Amino acid sequence: MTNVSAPTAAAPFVFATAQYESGDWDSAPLVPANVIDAIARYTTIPVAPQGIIVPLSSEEVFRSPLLYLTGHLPVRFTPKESEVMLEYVKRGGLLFIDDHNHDIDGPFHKSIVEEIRRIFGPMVQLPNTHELYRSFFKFENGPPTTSHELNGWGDNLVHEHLMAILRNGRIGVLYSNKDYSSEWSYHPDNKRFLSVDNTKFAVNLVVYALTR
Amino acid sequence: MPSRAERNASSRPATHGSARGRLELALRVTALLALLGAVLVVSGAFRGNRASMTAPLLFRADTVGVPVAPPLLQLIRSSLLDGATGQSVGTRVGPATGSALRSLHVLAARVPSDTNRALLSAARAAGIPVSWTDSTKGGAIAIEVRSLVDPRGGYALRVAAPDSTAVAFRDSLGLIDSVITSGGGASVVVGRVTGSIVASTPSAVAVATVPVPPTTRRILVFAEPGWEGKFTVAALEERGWIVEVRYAIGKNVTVTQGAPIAPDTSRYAAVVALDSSVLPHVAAIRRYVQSGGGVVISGAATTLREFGAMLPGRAGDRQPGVPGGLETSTPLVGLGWRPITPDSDAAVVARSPRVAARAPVVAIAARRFGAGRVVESAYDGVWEWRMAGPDGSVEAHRAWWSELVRAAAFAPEIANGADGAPIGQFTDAPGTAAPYADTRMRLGIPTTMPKSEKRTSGTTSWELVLAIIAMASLLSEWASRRLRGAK
Repeated sequence: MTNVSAPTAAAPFVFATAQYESGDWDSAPLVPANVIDAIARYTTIPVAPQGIIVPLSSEEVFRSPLLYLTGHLPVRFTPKESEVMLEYVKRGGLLFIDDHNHDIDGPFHKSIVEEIRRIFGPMVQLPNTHELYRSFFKFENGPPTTSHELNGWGDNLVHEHLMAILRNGRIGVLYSNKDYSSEWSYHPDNKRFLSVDNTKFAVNLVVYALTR
Repeated sequence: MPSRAERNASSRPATHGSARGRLELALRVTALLALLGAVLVVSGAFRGNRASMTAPLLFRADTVGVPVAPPLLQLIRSSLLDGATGQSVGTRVGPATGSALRSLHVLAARVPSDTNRALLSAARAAGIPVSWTDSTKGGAIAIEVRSLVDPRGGYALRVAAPDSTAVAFRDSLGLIDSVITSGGGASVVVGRVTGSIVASTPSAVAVATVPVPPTTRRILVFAEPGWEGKFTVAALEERGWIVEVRYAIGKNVTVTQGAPIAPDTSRYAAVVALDSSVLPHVAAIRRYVQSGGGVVISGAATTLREFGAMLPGRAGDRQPGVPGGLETSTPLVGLGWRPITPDSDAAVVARSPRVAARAPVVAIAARRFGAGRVVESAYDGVWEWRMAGPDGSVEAHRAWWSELVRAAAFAPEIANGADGAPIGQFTDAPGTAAPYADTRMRLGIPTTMPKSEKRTSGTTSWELVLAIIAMASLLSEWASRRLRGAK
């Protein structure tokens, strides 16, 4: 018997996707698996092999301090969903919302920005020097550009910044127009065909959520 | 026929020489002597002799917290320096007038003020026997004020007093708080204070100087990347601590916050260990604690054998939290934990509320290790309390972690008048923080009322007896004359 203690087994990170009543919350079903793959590939953080789906109106969201929310369609959160989201962020949760349309004139963007303002107040531009961009990999120019921004889809714009709601110096809500939901929505096995892994920013996001 | 007056006049010469006449004369003389004696007693003609023999001067300490006591000061001064007459003192004085002070007895309905204690002590040192009777009925009080090792500042006011005593805390701006003591005392935590702290009960006043706030240093956290580390750091930062942490994220990849270095009392107030990520640093932490630092060992880290004798107790197997417990009024029952079996020399800080009604099991224990302190917390995954607990959980979680760290934190104490406050701020007389103990130290063990005082009380009876004798004599003489018909 050795006198050296075995490493303690930390609870694995579980990737959670928010399910809301309006719109299409499940528009990017392959994103969780791809993010989980990236976490396991690049870090030693214990991670659950499968993500979970958490109804936004349930208290279960409070067990998942990082929550991913996306969609194409107009969004109107119910009073319960709004209440839970606000409390979630107040308590220290991080809500990552991505516009799956990559279109500032799209229905998701217009409605979700309105909803965020209604629930949390106005968002601020997250500076490209923010620690989110160096929490694991370094992104000197801020949020990495997606292929969907470059190939003319959606609004045909390259969005230079992410938007955020900050609480106590930490990101409470992170909003992206860059359509990471399309960018990361492929089977992890296909990563070998990429010259640069485009899910690295997801690693930064998870590491930031786990450490800040 | 002669009138009645003529008969009386004719018979008067006969009665002068009779026995009745001599009796009346004796009664008149007796009355006059008794009246004269009473006058002399009242005027104090015999008092000097009695006082010089046995009777002490009595001082009734019935004013609490009065800064000066001119009557007592005047009396002792006249007695010690002039060596002659005493004066009226307090509300009641024994027969000391006209003589040197031979002894002094204090009837203490309240604890004497610091000035009075000093005067009595001086009298005792000058050779005057001083005794006292404790009638304070709960006057034993002592106060301690300690600076909290907390970036928000604040003070812990601790008072020792008999149970069920109402204690009011004041500073120079007014009332701060009040408590009812139980278990021998009470304590309150307050924020800013101005001037000295005064704790008062109906029968005593204790005053304590506010210490200089300590300089708070940083907190070093050892944690794996995860929710427990994240929310522990968040809680401490929200409280105002500067937190440094190093997360091992990947192979040879670490994410740091701040500039963490090896634990050292010059930089860190406390170290928080949450899991096995602390293993490479246990030896350094041991040295740090031995030199005065503080460490909080929580959750999974309590199972690490490397801490050895540092741990206040042995952590048992992990038990899951009570389902739904997080949403109750005692959310700690909803957390997983490892019950602690404390060592014999460890202090039990808290027991788990879930078994408190049956067999209390220790949830938090602490011990001294070298010059430092170690706090062990059995709870695991405390972050769930913050995220999934009832309303107010964020603040409660923050306060809970802050208290744990505060219990262990190292902060060098700065003596008043040394590096911090000017020497002029130290104004408290010795013993003001514990006036009852100071009284006992200065005046000795309290006694009952001295016998001489009871004799002194007899002085009034002699006056009364003499007055009664005079009255009885005069009445008898008058009755005798009336019965024989004389006016």
